[in-house]
Amino acid sequence: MTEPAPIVHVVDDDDSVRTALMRLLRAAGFEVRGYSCAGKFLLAKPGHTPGCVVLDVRMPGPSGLELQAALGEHRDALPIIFLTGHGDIPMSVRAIKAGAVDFLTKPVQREALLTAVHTALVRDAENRAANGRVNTLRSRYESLTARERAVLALVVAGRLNKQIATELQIAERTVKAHRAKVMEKMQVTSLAELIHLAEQLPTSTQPERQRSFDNFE
Amino acid sequence: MAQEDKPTAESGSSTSPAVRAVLTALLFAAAFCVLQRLTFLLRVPPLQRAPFWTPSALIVTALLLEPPRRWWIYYIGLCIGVYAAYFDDLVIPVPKAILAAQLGFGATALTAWAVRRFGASLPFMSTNSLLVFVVFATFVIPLIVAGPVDLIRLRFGAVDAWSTALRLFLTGGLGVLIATPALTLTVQNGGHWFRARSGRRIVEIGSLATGLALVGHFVFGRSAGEESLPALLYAPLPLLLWAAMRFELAGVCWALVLVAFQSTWSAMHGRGPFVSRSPAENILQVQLFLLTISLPLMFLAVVIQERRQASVALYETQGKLAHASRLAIVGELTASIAHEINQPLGAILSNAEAAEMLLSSIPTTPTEVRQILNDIRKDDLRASEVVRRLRELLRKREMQMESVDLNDVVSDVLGLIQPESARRGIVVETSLAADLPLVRGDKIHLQQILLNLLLNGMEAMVDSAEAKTLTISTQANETSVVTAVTDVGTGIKPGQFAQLFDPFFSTKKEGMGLGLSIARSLVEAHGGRIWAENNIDKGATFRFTVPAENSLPKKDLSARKEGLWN
Repeated sequence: MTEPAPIVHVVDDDDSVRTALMRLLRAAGFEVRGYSCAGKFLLAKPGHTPGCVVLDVRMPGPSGLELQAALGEHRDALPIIFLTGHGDIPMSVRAIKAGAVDFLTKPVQREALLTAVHTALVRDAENRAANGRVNTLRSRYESLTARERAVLALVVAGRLNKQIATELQIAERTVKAHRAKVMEKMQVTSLAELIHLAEQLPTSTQPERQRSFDNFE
Repeated sequence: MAQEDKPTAESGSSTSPAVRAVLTALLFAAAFCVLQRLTFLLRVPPLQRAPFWTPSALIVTALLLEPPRRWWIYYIGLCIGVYAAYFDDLVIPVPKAILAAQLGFGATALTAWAVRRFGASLPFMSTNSLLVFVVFATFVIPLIVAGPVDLIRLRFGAVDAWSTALRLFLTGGLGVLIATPALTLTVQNGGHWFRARSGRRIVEIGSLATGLALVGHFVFGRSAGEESLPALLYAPLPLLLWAAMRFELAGVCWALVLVAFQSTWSAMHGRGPFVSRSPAENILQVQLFLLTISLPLMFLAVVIQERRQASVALYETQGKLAHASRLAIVGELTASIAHEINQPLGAILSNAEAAEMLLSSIPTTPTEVRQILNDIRKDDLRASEVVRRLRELLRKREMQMESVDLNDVVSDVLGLIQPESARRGIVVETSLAADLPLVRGDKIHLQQILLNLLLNGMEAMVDSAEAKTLTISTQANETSVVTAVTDVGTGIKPGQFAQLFDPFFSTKKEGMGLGLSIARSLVEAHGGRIWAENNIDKGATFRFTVPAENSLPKKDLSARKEGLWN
């Protein structure tokens, strides 16, 4: 899987600050894009390529924290590094809790900024890899029929074929067929493997809750 | 007549203290001798007594102005002076004069001590300290001294028709009473008056003195044969009141000294209203006349002086308050101001670091580095501009009237308020009239008025959920420039209009209630008017006027300039 080079997005309403940050990041060898407000950043739909966001907290229009909240709703959200001129503790706690990589105060030192950007890009890569795995798993899982999913849930729960048959009120032979189909669709060859995959889908054995995950940490 | 010899010798800082002390003593002796000899001229012929004894006033002045540890210098000066004045005197022998001088010095020292102890530190600046002075100098001390002197006189066989005690009481007391404040205040403030002399003031002093001399000549100079009109005695009174009103205690005392010399001189020469009885009784009459007009006039002058000082103090306090209120404004803006300085600093740092990296990379890019340096300069100026605006606002200063374009004031204020309004999510709009006439005003105070109104408007919109907008507009009418600040906040409740500009009236929880009241006093100091009204739809509008420069009469301006706002 060859990914394009990561892009560092700088969102700051102050032209000279933004220009200076972009210059610095570019000099450090990054691909950089600048945006003067949160709206312009969102319009650019930056989530499809790897990268991270260097975000000013205080901006006219939606603030950095509001943008973070909006981005958090997307599964492929880019990691965020906050910049602030007047960082206060509650604000940074809020930002970090909401998943920010770092919360830096202006004027920001090169070391701190570059370290944070590196951390953010590593995290983005990990997110993308994890996302990719989970996505494959989920698409496999989603290819199961309702009955197959029920069988899978009971298998993972450690029931024998006979018990499953009784519980679902179907013939044991049918259970076996479903089970073979599940193994085939989930692309596993052993029960151990199946259980391992199912664990990676934390809620997969509970069909009614299967769509409620958003965080992959 | 008036002696202005300073009892202190100011002979340069290079001379040693001992030399200075000797010079002081000699100068004081000379001044005392001259004054004493002038007083001899006033001796009423058959009795050889002067009704008006000013040399003691010179001693009181010296002791009031000098600390007690230097009093010995004046004591020595006094002894020399008395010897010099009396060595050829035919009326009083030298030993007797020197003996009397000992008593005189003791009494004077007691007076000076009492004024320092019970009065204020600055003599004659308050009714309290004048009262202490009057009681001690004219009543207590002469009574204490009169007794022993009486005995001495009796011992030397000088028994005459006068009651010695009463005579001494009036003679010494009167001179000290009138001449001491005149001398003390002149020595103390003379230099200041001389430096600040204005033509108009000198003309006024001249005409006052001439008027007094003429009236005095008319009232006291009439020969004994002419019909005497007792009511004429009141003729100097308007002029003395003039002196009291315009020249305070020092002025009224010099005027009284003039009247005292005139009345005494004419009584001596058998002229004026005080010649109808025996010489002793005539002198007594002069003295009582002087005493009864002096006391009320002196107290009147001090009361006027106190009121003037109070109003100056009030002006100063108002100036301090205006300054404190600017500090408070800056306090409210601190977060945004720090941000405003931090932004360019951050940009400068990143730019410098970027340049550093660019320079260490192999293919150096001079155009980009040049661009960076250019941006660094721009950001540096931007930061220092914030600091300049801040400094200007914070400086403690006198009111400086100059030609001001209110549109410039608005744009300066925008620079200060915009970061704060952005922080609060408020949009500040302007609607400025082109070709606004210039006004005569103090730029910083006008900024302060506007800032107060803007902060007030922001505060009014704190709880508003809708779009928050503040509008600043300027507009010219016939004679003035009207500046308005419109908010879309809660508006003003009908009952609040009356108190809106009162000090300590506030609808905010943490408000001191000083912003609008200070804005009003600043507007009024500019000769303008400030008022508030609710908008038809939502919020309120505050307006203030500042008279346009070309519509102002010149005189008005100079009068306003005297205000002590800082």
